[in-house]
Amino acid sequence: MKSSEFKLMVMPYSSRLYRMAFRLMNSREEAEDIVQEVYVKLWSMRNELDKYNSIEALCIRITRNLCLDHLRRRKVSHDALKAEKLKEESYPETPSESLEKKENAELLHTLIAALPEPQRSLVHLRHMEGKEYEEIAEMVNMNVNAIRVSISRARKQMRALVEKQYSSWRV
Amino acid sequence: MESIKDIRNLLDRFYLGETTLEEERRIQEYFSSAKVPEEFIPDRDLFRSLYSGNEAIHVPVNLDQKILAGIDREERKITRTRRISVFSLSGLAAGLLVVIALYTGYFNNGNSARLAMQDTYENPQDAYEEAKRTLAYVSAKLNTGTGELKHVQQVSKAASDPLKSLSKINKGSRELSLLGQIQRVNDMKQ
Repeated sequence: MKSSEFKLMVMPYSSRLYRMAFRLMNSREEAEDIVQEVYVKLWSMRNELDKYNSIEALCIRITRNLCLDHLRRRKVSHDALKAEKLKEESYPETPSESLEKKENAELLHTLIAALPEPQRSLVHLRHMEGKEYEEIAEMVNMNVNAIRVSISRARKQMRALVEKQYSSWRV
Repeated sequence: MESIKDIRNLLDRFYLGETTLEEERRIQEYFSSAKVPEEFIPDRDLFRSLYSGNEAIHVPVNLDQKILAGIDREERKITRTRRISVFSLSGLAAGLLVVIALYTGYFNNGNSARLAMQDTYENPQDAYEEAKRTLAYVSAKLNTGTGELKHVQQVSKAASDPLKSLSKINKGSRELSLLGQIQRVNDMKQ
């Protein structure tokens, strides 16, 4: 496969892969490194890419697997405290951003950072990428029922956190 | 417009992981437009963050360039590794050749040494007889060689006899030179 074909086929996913890597890693630098690693891997497989039904699913699978490898290596604890510390670094404040948007981003960051794997990846793929359960199943190599159960738990946990936050504001 | 009852039902299914993308979009729409009852406020906040929070992640502007540079770097690394492997392999092959050459050389020398030391006769008496016969043959040939040398002696003698006559001539010429000297003295006196 020529370099130009490769660029056309896989480069359009770079931003989405970066967002996913960032969601899982909570670090811009690591997300960038991982996305580069993903593309090096894809480049090494360039002559086999035609065999895959969905290049997007392949890209997401590789990104997720690399993120999990990195997380295992650094043995990160998904605690909210750490997420809080990273929040400022991750979302640089720009004057054009509305306060509400910024608050939503920060809340989402806190909620997702509190989730364990695979819930974190699944919530990202379902809500941020808008994927069907069947597509997610292909991307993360899990069955649809297990994904539904996992997402259900994640949603309940996130709602409980939001409710707790809301209750603390009201007091 | 969704009724509160519908929304409650949809939310129940949402938390069980049973809603479709379309149903989730309907809930999201409801929370983004309507003024919601207080019981739904945590759900609304969750939905708002889930569906708008992702936009706040700033993707680096030069991400694609970095990716392509990373691929380029990796390609160069692979080429370098391949070149090193070729060098290592040729070195290894050369080393192997030397080892094989030394090995075969050693064993060939060993074989010739063994061949040199091998007995050609099983019976020592036969060996003795053969050795005696060979030595007699060599001796006979040597005697024939010395017989030839007798002719050389005759040539030498023939050459030395005429040389004796030459010494007499030399003696006569010396005496003549003395006579010459006497003649010159007499001439001076006169």
